[in-house]
Amino acid sequence: RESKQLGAISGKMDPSATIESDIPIPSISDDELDETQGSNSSSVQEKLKLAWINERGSPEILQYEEAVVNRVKEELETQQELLEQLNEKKGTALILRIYQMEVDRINFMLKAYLRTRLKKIEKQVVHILSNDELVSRLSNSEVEFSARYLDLVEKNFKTAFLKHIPENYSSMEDKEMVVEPNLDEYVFCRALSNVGNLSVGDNGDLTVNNGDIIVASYRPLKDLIRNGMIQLI
Amino acid sequence: GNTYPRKREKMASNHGKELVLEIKRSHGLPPYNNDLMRKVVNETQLLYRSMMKKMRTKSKDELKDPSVTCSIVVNNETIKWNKRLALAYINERLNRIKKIWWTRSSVLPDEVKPNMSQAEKDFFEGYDKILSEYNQEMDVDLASDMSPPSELMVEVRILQDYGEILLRSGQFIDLKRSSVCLLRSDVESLIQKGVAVQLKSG
Repeated sequence: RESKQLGAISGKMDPSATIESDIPIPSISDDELDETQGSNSSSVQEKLKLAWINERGSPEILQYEEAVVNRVKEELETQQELLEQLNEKKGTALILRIYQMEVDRINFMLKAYLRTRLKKIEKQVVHILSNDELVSRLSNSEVEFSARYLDLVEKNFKTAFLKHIPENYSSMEDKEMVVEPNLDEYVFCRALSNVGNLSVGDNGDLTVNNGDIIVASYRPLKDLIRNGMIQLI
Repeated sequence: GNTYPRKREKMASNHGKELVLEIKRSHGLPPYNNDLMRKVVNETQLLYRSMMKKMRTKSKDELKDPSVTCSIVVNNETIKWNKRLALAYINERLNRIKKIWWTRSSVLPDEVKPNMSQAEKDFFEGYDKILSEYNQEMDVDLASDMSPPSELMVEVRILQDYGEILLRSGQFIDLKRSSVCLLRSDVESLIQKGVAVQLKSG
């Protein structure tokens, strides 16, 4: 029988707590996205977390992290199958629970990420659909969803009110009806590398080093967030 | 002099504003105010007709008179304002209806149905459809796991005898009025449906 030490979840397990098992149980947190993804070899779970937090903090819709999402889903499936196999074995109850919790947590994060995006899309649907660059940031399912959602809302507005008033006024595209994200909104972020000199608009320049936490308007930070040099918090 | 009888210019009656105040001051989904909505529509049509009439019947010279152009502008602005108020009312209700889908169930609860207009019921149905399609394409169930998991097992009280049901985890369980300890992921849908109530731990 093989004795395997488990490097579970985010912390390190007590090294003396080993378990005998025929089935090696890799933790999702240990897995790394393949090397083509960039210099930081952060686990796929960390990438998901980063994507989610960035999406929550950003006023505009960000690029859909397709690779991360697909990888996470694969791993969740494999992990879940492993857990089900383990379920049959005796003496694995505690380990099972811990691994199940990890699966639950990652599941939650994945859905929270997708939900955050859908919510943003719903709110800014007219604005997004009228801009090709923004549409390119959506996943295929999200593009379909946006179009259908807009149809749904339009239909309701028309039936309830717009079709009863004179045609000149019945448009859905009035400037004041389109919700646009406020790109000048202030956001909190943390630098992930030495950014150096950063111009934050009217307030002048900042010198930003790895690990610095700053509050600034979103617009000048857009590109840095996009290429991963800073993250929203 | 002013030849317009006062009572025709009824912009002071603020049905649109009433609509918005009504929805603002309420929680949940009050009955759809078809009455007020119709009044706003009628008022809008009246304003429009009056505006078009002025533009058609007035001579070029009269149309240069500020008191005439002013009343046309005011009509136009009021129509736009009514539109904004009515749509704000409708939109806010749609938001609340969406919330029902996310927090309660994908089937319209009986106590909410009578408060909804047919268009709103259609919206709910349509919303359920597009979310179900999204779920299917993405192979997820977005409405579950709405909050971060803080523990694995949760103690709940089953409110009535519901008989045997199949849980998410694949287990069959016989639901009887009792307190029972279940996996958090199994319990979520039960709580949402109102079958079980979470007991505070500690």
